[in-house]
Amino acid sequence: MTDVKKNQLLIVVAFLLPMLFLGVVLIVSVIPSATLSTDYDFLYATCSDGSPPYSYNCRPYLVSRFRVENGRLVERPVPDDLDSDRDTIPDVQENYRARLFIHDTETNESREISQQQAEQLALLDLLTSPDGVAVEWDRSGGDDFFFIFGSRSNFGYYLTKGNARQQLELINDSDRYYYGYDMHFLGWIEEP
Amino acid sequence: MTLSNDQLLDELKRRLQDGELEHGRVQALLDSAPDESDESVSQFRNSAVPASALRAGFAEFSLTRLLYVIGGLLVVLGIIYFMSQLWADMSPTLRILITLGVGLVFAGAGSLFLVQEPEKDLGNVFHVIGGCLVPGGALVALDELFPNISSTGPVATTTGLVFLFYLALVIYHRRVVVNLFAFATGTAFIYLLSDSLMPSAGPDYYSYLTMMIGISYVLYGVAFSGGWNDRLIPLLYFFGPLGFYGAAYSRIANTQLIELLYPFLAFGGLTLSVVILKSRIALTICTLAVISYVVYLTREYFADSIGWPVALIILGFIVIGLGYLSVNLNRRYL
Repeated sequence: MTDVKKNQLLIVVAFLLPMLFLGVVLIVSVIPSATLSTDYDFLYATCSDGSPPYSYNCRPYLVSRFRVENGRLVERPVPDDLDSDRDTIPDVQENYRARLFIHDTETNESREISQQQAEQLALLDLLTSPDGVAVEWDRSGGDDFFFIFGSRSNFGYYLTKGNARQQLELINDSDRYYYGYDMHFLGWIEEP
Repeated sequence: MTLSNDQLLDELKRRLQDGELEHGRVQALLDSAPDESDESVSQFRNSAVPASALRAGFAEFSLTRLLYVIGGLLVVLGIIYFMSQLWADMSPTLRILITLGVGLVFAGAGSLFLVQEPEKDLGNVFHVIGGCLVPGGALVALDELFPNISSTGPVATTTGLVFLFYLALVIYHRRVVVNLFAFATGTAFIYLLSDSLMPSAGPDYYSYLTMMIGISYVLYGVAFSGGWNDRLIPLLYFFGPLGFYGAAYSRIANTQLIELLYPFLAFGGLTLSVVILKSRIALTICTLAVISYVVYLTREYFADSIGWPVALIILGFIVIGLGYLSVNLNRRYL
């Protein structure tokens, strides 16, 4: 092989190396994530005091108000001394408004339902669906990387199974503000 | 068969045009021909042209280049300053014209000068000015035409198109200056493409990608050796190892595999920079990589047990030793 051809081959290898790396990572990680699905929808609750877009840290309020008992959603009284956002104003005086949603995992869309409708649903009080999928709050990026510090982060809820994950488009959930604190996963709906 | 001088020159010209023979190899042959250079020196000595005139000619040539560079910088700064003053009052069309439009005009003029007067640097200067404006101008055009874009995909596509533009210029002109912009836009493109295809990719991915790009740069440097763009080699041998070891070091505390491999990579790079690359710049970066590993080891495993004062003394001696090794490798082999 002549020097010219050897150099041309090196240029081709150098050109393809990052592309091949990107391709391999895509195949290994993105395709399993893209094909991740579950047959089950889930129920979740969000809270706010009606003045967006800031986070309220009212998740403890949701956790204490809604529970799944014997496969049904149950509302419980919120303790008088509970102060989720630690602003010295008890949650019962915060005018928090809780909303309930069913998330369709096939279309990745949420639909609001009334509390009465939610209480009729048969729920599985499990973290993972029967086909092994979980709903997890996570972030990507944002870690220190070489000389680029504080790079962009994506916060949000994901469907996860092993290493595969798929971002969920939830109501009152944004990757820009830390709304993870205002959402409470209640359970998988038993009948898909 | 013996070729006459004319036949030999014709054959040389044909091979250079076909790319079978690289300009750099011919130049290297000319540079290494002592008889000819001696002859030319003696010719100068014997000729009516005094040595001071030769030096003046060289100085004039350098001064011309320097003026080109300063002029080019002033033009770019002037355009940026002018744009920043009037930016808010400009219409979207004017914004596109003054950035992308002016950039393309400068690039076009640069190409024209490179074709008509290839021996002069004016074309390079125009391409530098164009290169400073075209990528930003393309993004301005994207932002003005599609103001509601929130994902990285269109930005990656635009950068990819600018990269293809410079790649075409590289193939056509075979000039270092356009190749430099092809490298810059190509590198930006691969990062943006990654972000658009995998928005949730974490720092691990980008570290490994940077390591791959670092290896690519070094491979390009090896391939460019003796070619028309071998002036890029020092840059490639600087940014390639810097990216590779920088990215690897950023993961050393988080990834066990990298922690395990890093010393081999650092010492391997040290050997490679001397034996194959024969590059002082690469040797310096690899030495810094070895030093960074020693610092990491000291901080992670020894500072708490023997204390920082003693660790610093030992570290200082190790760094001196590595510096001595690096200087010796440089003197003996480079």
